[in-house]
Amino acid sequence: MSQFFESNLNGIRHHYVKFSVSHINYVMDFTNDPDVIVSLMELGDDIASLLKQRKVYTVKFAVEEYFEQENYGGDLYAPPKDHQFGKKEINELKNQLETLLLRHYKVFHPECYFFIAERASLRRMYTKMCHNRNIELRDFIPLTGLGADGDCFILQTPHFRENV
Amino acid sequence: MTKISKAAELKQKALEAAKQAYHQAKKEGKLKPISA
Repeated sequence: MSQFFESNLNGIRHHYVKFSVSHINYVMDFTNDPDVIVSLMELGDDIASLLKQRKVYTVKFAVEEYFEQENYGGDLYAPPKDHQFGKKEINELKNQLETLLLRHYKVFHPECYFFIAERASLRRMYTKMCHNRNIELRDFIPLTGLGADGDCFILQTPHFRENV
Repeated sequence: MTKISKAAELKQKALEAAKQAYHQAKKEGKLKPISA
């Protein structure tokens, strides 16, 4: 099982976990950095009203090869080089992201997770993740197509409703 | 150059910040394993 790591620099925490899909290694990052959350609220009034005064983590992942190079100058969220993901790999990626998100949720209990899909392929995968969720995510409420460009997603956790 | 949305631009910056925090924490011995 993948190990989670935490960095805490000046009170800003990140949680990292590594995972693999079809021989490609990835790093997933969760953060509740207040500056990041405030900037998310500037993406649209719909988003601001959902995130205001909520415990939110943003979720991102990148190819480990790019992430581990401190001076990497390329596009950090570029897809893996020379690797075309098919349906099987996309499903595996979805399963991994859901499993790790659940593990994170069970410890940190946020009210929302926030995703941004910068590519059409990622938008399709997040939409699939929202509408065809892992059974353990059945009590989570997905909100899709948020923000001016419709590329933002929120997954409201059961804690969101407990705190209404 | 491909035009990216404001959200994608924000994500790019946030991902870069996450990477910098990771490397800095690693150097300072502040990257700690946690139970999750």
